[in-house]
Amino acid sequence: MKAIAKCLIIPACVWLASVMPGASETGDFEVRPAGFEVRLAAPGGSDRVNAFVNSRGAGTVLGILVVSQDRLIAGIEPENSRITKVTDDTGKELLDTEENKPGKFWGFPHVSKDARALLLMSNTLLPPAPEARQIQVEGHILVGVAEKLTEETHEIPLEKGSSWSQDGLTYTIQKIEHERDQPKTVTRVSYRLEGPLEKRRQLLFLDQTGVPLDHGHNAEDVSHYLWKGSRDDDAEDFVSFRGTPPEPAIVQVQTWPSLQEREIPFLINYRLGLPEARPKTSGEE
Amino acid sequence: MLRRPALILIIAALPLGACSKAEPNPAEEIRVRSAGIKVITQAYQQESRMRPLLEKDGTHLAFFLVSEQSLLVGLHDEKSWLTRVVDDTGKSLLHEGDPDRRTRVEPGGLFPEPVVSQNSRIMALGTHFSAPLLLPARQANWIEAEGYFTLGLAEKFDETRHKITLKEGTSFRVDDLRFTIKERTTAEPGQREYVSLYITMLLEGPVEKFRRMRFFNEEGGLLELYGGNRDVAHMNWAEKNQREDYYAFEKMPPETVIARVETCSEIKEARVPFKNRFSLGLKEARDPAPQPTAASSGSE
Repeated sequence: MKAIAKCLIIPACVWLASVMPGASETGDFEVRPAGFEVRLAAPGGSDRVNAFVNSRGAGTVLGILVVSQDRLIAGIEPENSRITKVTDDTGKELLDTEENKPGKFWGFPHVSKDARALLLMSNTLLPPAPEARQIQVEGHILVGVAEKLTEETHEIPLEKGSSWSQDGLTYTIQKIEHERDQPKTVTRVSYRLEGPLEKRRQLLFLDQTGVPLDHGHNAEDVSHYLWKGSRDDDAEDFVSFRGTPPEPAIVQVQTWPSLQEREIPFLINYRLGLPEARPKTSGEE
Repeated sequence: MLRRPALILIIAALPLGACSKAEPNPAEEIRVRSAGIKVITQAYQQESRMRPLLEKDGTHLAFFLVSEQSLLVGLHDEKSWLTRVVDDTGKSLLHEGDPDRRTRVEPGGLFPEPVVSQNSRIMALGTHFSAPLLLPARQANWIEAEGYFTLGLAEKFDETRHKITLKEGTSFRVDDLRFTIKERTTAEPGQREYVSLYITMLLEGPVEKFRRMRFFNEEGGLLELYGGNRDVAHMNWAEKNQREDYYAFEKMPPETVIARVETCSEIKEARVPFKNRFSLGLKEARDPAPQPTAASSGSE
């Protein structure tokens, strides 16, 4: 009887561990549920009335957070990253196989400023069964990772043709435009990149004290959300900022000296009560 | 000896009978359905763009209000509250900082989506995106939300037709509502990509009774407005005496047009209490009654 009990208890514990809300760890990376949205369509099929702003009809959207303690994340390679299976605890399959590319992640992932975290969203999945209490998600994420980031400043004349290089990438200013937008003028600097485009991360103009000028959304734009994605095909880019830069201008450039591909398989569970999303502190298991 | 008390009983029963003929409570036929739930954990390192689903952390709830008979004119958001929200572990999801532990509810489909269905039978409502509830406990399986919505209800909308000239100062009335073209602006040649003519319409009187205005040419063709025709006028229902509405015509309309105006003669305020459960799986709501047709009259 004891042997039978053990046989039952061990699989039960394994099952319990698998259905508890929480993370999936793969080497240096931890994948966690970060939030979810479950919504129904309006009665009568009205497409004008929706449960939430910016979402239509019935569906499920899942937030996934990838956190690394040891590696820096440059971004996701979207074409080879997929959610492969989504089921609720009633056995209902939530992956809409009629979609063009089932299981593809939403097109705007985000990388944290410290490059330790990547936030992803699923595209809209089917809603779980009314009796469902859990959703299990399986898939893999292909990311570009690095051990370090290069950050250098370059003093350059702010004029067409100015050029500088870093980590094999050459930046050349193509055009400078000024726009009056009170109280400060907005300067837009268009530039061209030559070299391995996936190595770029961020470009900011600094004031004479070394503080970034007001770049608005640009300061938030750590450009490699889509590593080997659509942005890499575009060798022309721009940055805009408010205020007057010093002469010569000081530009701070972040690039990846060396990138590697890593595939992160994951299996995570969602319940109504989610764990807090937070980075692991050193020594934390 | 027994006949007199019986007579007294009959006389005493008369006023009670009269009371039982009182109008039914319109709120009773309105069903509140759980429409959606979002549970969002804290953004990584508090970075705004590292917010899961681009939302503020906490719990967001959405409701569908479904009416079988009355037309849903709007929500009185200052009289609509969540009074109790608890998960099945007993944790309250209302913020302690709320003076009376209540949370306002707001239309769930602010611009650009209308919040009331075209037939005015369904309304989407929810916790405001900037004021979510607390997160449920890790072990929680469901959340129960209790409160009440205060709605403006109408029995029917009437359509009147008015032949008007689209020039400043043109004015017409629908019952005690006055409509006046306050401003007419022709788009500059460089701005004619989307809009040819802007009209600012001043509404005076009980503006909550106004539902929508559509413009037609004299042959009966609908004149398209940029952003679509505003079918639903009352996202937030509250009594006001004056309002300005804007109409942007995609193509330059003729000088004389037919304005079809939908209004309701009376709005009743109804308080709809609810107690709804939310879990990862939500139950589908029933279909509402078919769309009513607006009674039509006018001065065309």
